[in-house]
Amino acid sequence: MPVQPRSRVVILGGGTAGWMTAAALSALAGAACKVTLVESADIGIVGVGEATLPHLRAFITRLGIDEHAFMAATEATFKLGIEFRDFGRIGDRYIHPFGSYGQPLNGIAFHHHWLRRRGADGTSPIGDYSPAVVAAEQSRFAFPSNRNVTNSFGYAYQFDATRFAPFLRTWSEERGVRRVEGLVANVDRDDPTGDVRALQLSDGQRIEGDLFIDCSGFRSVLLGTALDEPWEDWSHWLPCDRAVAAPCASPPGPIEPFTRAVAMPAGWRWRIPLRHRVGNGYVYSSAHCDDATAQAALLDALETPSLAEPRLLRFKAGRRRRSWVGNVIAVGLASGFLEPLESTSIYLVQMAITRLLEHFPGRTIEPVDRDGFNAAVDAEYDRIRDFLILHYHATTRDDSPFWDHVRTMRIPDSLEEKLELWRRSAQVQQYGYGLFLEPSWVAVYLGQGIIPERWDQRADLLGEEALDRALAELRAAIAREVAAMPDHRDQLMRAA
Amino acid sequence: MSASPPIRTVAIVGSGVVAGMAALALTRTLPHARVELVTMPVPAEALADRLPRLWPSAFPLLPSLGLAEADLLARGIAAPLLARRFTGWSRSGGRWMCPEGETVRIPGTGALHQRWLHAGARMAFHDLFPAAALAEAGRFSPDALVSTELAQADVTLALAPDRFGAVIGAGCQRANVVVSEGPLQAALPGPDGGWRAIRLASGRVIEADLFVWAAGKPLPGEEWLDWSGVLPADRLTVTRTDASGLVDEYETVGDGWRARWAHGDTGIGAVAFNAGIGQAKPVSDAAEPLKLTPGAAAYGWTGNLLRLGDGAAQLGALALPGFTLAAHHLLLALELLPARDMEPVLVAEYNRRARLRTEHLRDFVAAHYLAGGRRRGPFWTGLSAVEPPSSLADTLAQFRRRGQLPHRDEDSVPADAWRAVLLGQGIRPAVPDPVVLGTDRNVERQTLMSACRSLAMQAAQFPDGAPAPGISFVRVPKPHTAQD
Ligand SMILES: Cc1cc2nc3c(=O)[nH]c(=O)nc-3n(C[C@H](O)[C@H](O)[C@H](O)COP(=O)(O)OP(=O)(O)OC[C@H]3O[C@@H](n4cnc5c(N)ncnc54)[C@H](O)[C@@H]3O)c2cc1C
Repeated sequence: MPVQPRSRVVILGGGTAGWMTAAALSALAGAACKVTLVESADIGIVGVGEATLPHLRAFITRLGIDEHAFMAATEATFKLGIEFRDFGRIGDRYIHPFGSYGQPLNGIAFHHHWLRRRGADGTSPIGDYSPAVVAAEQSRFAFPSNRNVTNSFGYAYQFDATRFAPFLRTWSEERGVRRVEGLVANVDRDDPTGDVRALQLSDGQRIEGDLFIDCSGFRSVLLGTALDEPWEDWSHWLPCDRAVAAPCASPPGPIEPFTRAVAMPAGWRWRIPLRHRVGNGYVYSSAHCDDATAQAALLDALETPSLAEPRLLRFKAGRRRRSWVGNVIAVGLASGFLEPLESTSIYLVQMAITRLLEHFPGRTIEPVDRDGFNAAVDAEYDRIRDFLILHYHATTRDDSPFWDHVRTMRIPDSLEEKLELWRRSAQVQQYGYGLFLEPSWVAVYLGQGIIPERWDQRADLLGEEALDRALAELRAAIAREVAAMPDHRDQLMRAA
Repeated sequence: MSASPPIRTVAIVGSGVVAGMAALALTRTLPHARVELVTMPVPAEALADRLPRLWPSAFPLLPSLGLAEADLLARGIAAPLLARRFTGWSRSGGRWMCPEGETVRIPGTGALHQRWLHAGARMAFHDLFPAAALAEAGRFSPDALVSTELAQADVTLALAPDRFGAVIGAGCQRANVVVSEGPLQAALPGPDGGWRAIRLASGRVIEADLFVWAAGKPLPGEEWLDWSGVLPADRLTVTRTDASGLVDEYETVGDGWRARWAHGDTGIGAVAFNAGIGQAKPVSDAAEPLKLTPGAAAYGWTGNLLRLGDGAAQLGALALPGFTLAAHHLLLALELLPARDMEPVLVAEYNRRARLRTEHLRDFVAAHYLAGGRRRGPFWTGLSAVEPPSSLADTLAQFRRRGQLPHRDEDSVPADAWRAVLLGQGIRPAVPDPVVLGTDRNVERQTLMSACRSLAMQAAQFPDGAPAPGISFVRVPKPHTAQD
């Protein structure tokens, strides 16, 4: 193959998206490109985004980043899932774990067997069959070993969002990424292709490149503003458009290895335990709640006094129609935003980076590069969107105009089909790639009280006694394994 | 338990292994239902019934039949196949293989095919497959599939139709499947494209909650999607030959291609061509060519009527994918099995997934013709002008550009097999992979070569033999598929 000159990649933005992209390109594609990152201290980063998904571990590992160093630098804790409170009904709670419930019996997914015995003597909540749930409930944590089924689960991190980008910055600069401090004042574009040629900074610097990665956050300076890529609005399905965030001191006692999402009158509230503090925020719909009320509700819910002035954030649910246009690729908030109910934003950043590496164009970009990338991004966004909408729609709550709205709104056909399939047969629409596979859908369906009319008929082939025995053994094995796990706080001390 | 009660009665039409397999699986799944098999001879053209090959992707069906792959091998009901070998298919005319399973795992940076491309090694891509090493060494035992270095190997089962049919038949008998003398004379239409009842030649009328059409041909008068443009071999002559080994052979000739297939204790010689272009010289004068109709029924499931086998889809003789496709369709039908009222949402979901499954398999077979291989000879010249189906066009474009494969749900073909075919046909991606670009080519070349040598050595030392009955494979679990 001919040796190609390295292409010049310019990343605009130094938030989580910008520095993750810089780190990945410098570590994994250093032979193919030179990376320059432009960021402006005047604008700063969004600074929230503390809860992640297990995929981030693969990112860290693939780059060769030391997990201890990363966790220490970001005050990170372990995360085994998300606890949802009051979503399906006030008083309900369930954990959406990282990992599955039980294991297939006779080739049939576990939840069918559980549904069959639901309500029978001696059966217990489906969470008892998930090691991640049981460990989370007891604030214990051990690294999964995959040695046996009861110990196969995933974990993610909860970290200080203001420290992740700086950590990656140091790491990337050591690997040759050039950082330029400056404010983009103008974008030079090519006539007639419309491709971006250079960024003009307010101090007169001109940064040229072959490929521009727009990580400029909600401003979407290149894709949204310069290229004017249309916005696909999803706020009719996901009406939350504001958040107020405030950290508080960690209360004494165990550090919970999970994120909590508590449904509120006009949205929901997050609680993310870190090593040095707890992150909190109320995500709400401005059509259903004013800022002052939201702030008061958040402060009222804090276990300890707030450590800082509450911050207000505004956003819209949706995305740019295409993420890659011309020679501009948007990654992170510049490409779109789905609210943080399932901690998906950083995953979407990571996914875009993976796809970018797969479709990395060299110095000339072909339509096939963009098409491949955009198709992959589309599929991810659509599926996550449906999954998020489910959390709101699958409710019996009628105690506020917000919940009335989401309960009765028209949902996307793609979600309607998934729900109908589940209701009629306990089947989850299958796909092999992307986020939120069968166990996640099962967790939310059951957690929010959508009990199917029947289960897979093949589950009935197993004798009832044999099934009950298998269930009891599994429960006991998980209980044993978890009892042997260290306390989460101790585990963190060990890691420190 | 359910709003609608479960299926009470099933009637399956057909006498081949596809119908038998459906009857056995359904009766085992619905122990309280009456399952009736209406005999109806399957035509010689029904390749799913006549030349059944079970690819590893469809092994998950076997437990529903009370069978296990190692057992089928041990009892001589199936012969193992480790690869398909292609001669004269690529533009350069070279030979290449599409081995079963995955490539060997070699520590290092980047995807193995990208590393192989970058290293510019002289060895073939297929040499990186343990199954190819075993095939070259002429050795196989299921133990190979659990040994560490060869663990990425896999095996296709070449089922002997008569023996397999006998096993299935015995299973049906034990499970009290009722066999009724056909053939079917008429079907009385029911709602949504289903059947209310069928009438047999004897005059008997059978009503059922669920009907399965598995008679080895499309239903008379049914809309049939024509795929003969992208699967151009529509005539086939077959004759018995002597035993063949662990590899199915495919060789091009000007008018089409010839194959040598493993088939029980003997082998089969086949010649495939296109009726409109001209007849390739048959393997034996006696054989009258079979007429194939590549294509698919517009819907696999309508109302209470499920189509399986050559009545659902025909993907031709290349790689013999028909039975595997039928097995996947059956597995999906079991998973989504509706209650008596045939919930439309389940039927729709079946059709969605079954169709993806069919199309992706069609694309894989079509890639052998359309991925830019041989163009000399009457059968081949016209192929340059054939437009691939859009999903395949997308796959080819992505692979030509960067060696990427789009992610596809319901694909029966492992990614490494796709790569083996596309690289084998001579596609070389235009742009190098940025991830492997930083590694030293010479070092990488040495690494890959020594891995190949080690595979060959391991394979050569491997004992040859069938496992004892009852052994089941302990497969190495697939790595976590989380995106990285
Ligand atoms: C309320 C809320 C909660 C969230 N919670 C989570 C969560 O729990 N989990 C999760 O995964 N995600 C969460 N997210 C999303 C997450 O915060 C973001 O995905 C992540 O921080 C990435 O942001 P970013 O890098 O795209 O943008 P930003 O952090 O906004 O960075 C933008 C960068 O662009 C630069 N920039 C902008 N304009 C210019 C200019 N003109 N010139 C020069 N530089 C410029 C800025 O200086 C900055 O460096 C949350 C988001 C919100 C709003």
